[in-house]
Amino acid sequence: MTFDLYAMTSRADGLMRYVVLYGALAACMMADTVSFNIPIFADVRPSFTLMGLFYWTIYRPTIIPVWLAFAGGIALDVMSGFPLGLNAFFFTVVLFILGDQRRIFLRQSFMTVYMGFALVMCGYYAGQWLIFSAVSGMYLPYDMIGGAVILNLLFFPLVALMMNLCHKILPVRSQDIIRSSFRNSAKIR
Amino acid sequence: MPGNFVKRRIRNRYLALVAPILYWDRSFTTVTFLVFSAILLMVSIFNPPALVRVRVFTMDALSPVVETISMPVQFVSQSVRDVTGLSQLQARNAMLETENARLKEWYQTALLLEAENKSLKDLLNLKQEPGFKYLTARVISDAGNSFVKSVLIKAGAEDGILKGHVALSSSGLIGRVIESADQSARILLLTDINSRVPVIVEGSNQQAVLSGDNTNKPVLRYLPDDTKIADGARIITSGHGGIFPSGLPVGVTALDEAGNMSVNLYADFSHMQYVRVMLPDERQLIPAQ
Repeated sequence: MTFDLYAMTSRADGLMRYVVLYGALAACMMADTVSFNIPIFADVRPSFTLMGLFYWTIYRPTIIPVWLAFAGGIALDVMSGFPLGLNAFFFTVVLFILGDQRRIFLRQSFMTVYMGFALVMCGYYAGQWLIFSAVSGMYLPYDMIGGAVILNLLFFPLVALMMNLCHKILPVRSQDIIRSSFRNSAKIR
Repeated sequence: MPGNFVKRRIRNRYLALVAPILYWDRSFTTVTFLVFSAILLMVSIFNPPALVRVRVFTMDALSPVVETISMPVQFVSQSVRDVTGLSQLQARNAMLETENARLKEWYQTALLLEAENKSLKDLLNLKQEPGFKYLTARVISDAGNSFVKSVLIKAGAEDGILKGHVALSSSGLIGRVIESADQSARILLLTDINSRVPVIVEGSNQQAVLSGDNTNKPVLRYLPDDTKIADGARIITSGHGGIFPSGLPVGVTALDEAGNMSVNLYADFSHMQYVRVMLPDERQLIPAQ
């Protein structure tokens, strides 16, 4: 039995990349659920998970399979007290749309990505507002959604910066590129 | 090279065979999850009890993770608040000393009134309402979103907390338990749009229903048109409906610009670290014959 140091470090490297990337996504989810005891976050809170999902779906689509977005949505629904399936539904929709349209944002300025996020986020909140208004049978106040939208716009550059750091320090490995290009070529054909 | 040419042909043929399956599979999986989550959402909206077990199981599985992560977060936020609040400490200390002196006088009055109340009840042979004991639990998750106002606490059915139990903060009523897992429970706050609490306006004894509207100031509904309620009147629970015991402090009335009567709650949801859950005190219940 030979001791293959290269294979071991390569495996450890691959593992660490996934740990950091999924860790960043898990941190976003925790930020959505954990109690901060900060007055500004008591009534409205940005959706950090949506930010993470948006960013990684564009730049690392291979790390977020649809089942993960669904499971993450279910976990968030349970921990936040939402109706079961609400976030799961919206996250799957985001993945479905961005999965095909992500090339629009690749190699574009941050402003384009920012606008794209603003669009997706507005759709996310508008959808939630429609569902909750329909269920409660009354128009829910707009001001809190406005607050959440503003907070999302304020926090997205910060989250994107952190994700970008992870992305640059731990770039896509050659194996992932091969896998991704294989999928893309399969899709084109 | 003929070898490479053959290899490329085989690879292309393989791709041509696999590509539609791969692409179809990816779309099919996404659409399947989309449809499944839509069905789940419909069921959870129109028939919430059907998914209670799933929620409770997931809550139990995830609450230890959230609790572990929330501890350092709360420690940091508490430390930041302590440091930034140093300038306010002196003023707050002076205010608390004055308040403490006043409360000591009230304490003596309360003792006298309690004794008088007890003797009068004994004299009337009044049927006593069951007493309560309290369980204090830590808030581990506060979603703080625009549509659902609820918190998750680190105590559940194993600690005796069941659906319908009432939760208080140090200053007043905060809501009731709507979901109880083994080790965690969810409390629906008074501000949630689904929250309805029967209350009375102290002084006038006017009954009303405190209705949450997802804002910080729930409104008083079902007040007669000719009702005149003073701004700042105290609101307490009426005990009607049997879920909330009577006499729990809720807040004070506040008349807004539109003429609607809303309530400034005593409980401060932004700094809520611990909550007290009222449990029926079995020692005070009459044993079955």
